Amino acid sequence: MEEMSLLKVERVSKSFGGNRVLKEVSFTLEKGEILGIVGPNGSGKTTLLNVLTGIVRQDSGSVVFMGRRIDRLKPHQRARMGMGRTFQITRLFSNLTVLENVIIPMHYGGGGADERKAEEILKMVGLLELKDRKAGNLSLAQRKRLELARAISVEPKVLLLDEVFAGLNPVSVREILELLKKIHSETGVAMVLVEHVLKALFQITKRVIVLSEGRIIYEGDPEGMAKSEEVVKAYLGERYEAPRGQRS
Amino acid sequence: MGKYERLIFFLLLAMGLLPPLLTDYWERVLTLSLMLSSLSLAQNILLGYTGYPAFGCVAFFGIGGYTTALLMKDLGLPFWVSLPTGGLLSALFALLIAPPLMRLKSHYFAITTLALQLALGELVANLEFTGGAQGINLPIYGGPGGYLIFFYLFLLLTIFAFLLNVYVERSTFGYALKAIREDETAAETMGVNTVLFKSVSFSTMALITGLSGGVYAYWITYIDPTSMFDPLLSVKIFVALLLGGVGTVAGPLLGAFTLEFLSEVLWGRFPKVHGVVLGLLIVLIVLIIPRGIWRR
Repeated sequence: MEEMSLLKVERVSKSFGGNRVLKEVSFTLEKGEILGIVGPNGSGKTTLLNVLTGIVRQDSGSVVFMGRRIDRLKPHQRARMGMGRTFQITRLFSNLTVLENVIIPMHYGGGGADERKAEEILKMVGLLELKDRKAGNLSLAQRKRLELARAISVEPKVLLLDEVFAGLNPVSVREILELLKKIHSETGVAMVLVEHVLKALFQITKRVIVLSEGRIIYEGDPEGMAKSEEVVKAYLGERYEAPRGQRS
Repeated sequence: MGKYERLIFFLLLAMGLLPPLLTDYWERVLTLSLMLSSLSLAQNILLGYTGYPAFGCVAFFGIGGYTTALLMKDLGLPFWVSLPTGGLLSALFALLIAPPLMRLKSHYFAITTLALQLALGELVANLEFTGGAQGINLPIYGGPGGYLIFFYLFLLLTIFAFLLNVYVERSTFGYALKAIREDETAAETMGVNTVLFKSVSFSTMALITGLSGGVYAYWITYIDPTSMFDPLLSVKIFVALLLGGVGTVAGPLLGAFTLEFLSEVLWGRFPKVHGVVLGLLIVLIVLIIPRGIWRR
């Protein structure tokens, strides 16, 4: 018998007014898998994550998580089922301490608040020394780490990461990449990475989905992506061949 | 409880020993200060910890006051039954309207609660059983202790509100509220049932505010829509809160006492222009210490 997928998205569509942001998007995610979602700006990547976490409700289609339809569940219920998420523009609890930022999701989304466990998570992401500092005073790279810490503190089955590498310098990108690999090898959590930094993404994932104008135009391995006509078209536009006789 | 919180708690308890030393005038000033303290502490749970400014919170002051008054006058119930009923009704009403109302945020929420307060005031002014614009006369308290009882009732209410603030400051329940204040979407995504916690926070504010309204109604023995749904009281609560320091347990108390004392002293010194002087002072204080006397 075929094993059940961890996450199954089927023909999900979403419009904001007359703007169709997602058009019949379908894909599956297996347990422990790392999936990359790429696409030009405005292609619907963040909306897709918002639909998965329940911040936005889709107009049609279904989302099945661990064998259960979760379309009608609120974001906090999905978090408790095991969805951890980070945001493109970090959304920390700025006036609370680094430790409190991890304790809150542990208490409400995970298995219960436990200061020692929270400190372990902070140690893993390299923020233990800053645990009493206010989250609003962290640097961008530290904020991204804290977002990750917060997402894994709910003991997720799947981590939904919205552009964790964006805005980071190459050193920080490498550090976060190593951190993600470490989290994956230690917890076996499945990951969905919405990403623009392809170089980093391709080092961690074997499968990518390319979204363009709300539609999936490519699904497969990273190598094949660059060769896909459709993907090249979405990023660079139609192939242009100068008419004969005008070539110099 | 932390060091400062314990100190404030004992200072509040010690206030209970003051009345024999006070003239009637100062007893009244202190009673008013305590009333404003309880109202500011109530608002602090909502604005300071949850991030929702209920500018029309006096709506619940009115509900509590009117319920207490009507139960005593029309049904002849004793004050000790009417007052808690008023508080609970006020809290229940808040709990019912919270889910739709609290989809609005910041100034939209503030203005909608203000509209609620004004609408309720108009409703009460036009209904027959509430006495309309003519208001209601309550029986005069003639029990033991005389009018000093109201000083102690407001003191008790302030202590109750203070302890609730300490609880919010230090508990996991408070963490949920603070998470909502900091970033509601993130809180929801981290597993916090935001609708539930927002509603409980709103309702807690309404409970204390309603109880305060009930005590006030019995204290002044005559209420009408203008005095019980007074927008100026809302302004005073917010000024006290901003003056003292929003989102701290000590701030609302400091703000309420400072404001009430300043306004009394100035009223005595500058009988004609005390409002102007008070306004200028508040502007100055806010400019010099924008985050309040007691900072978060």
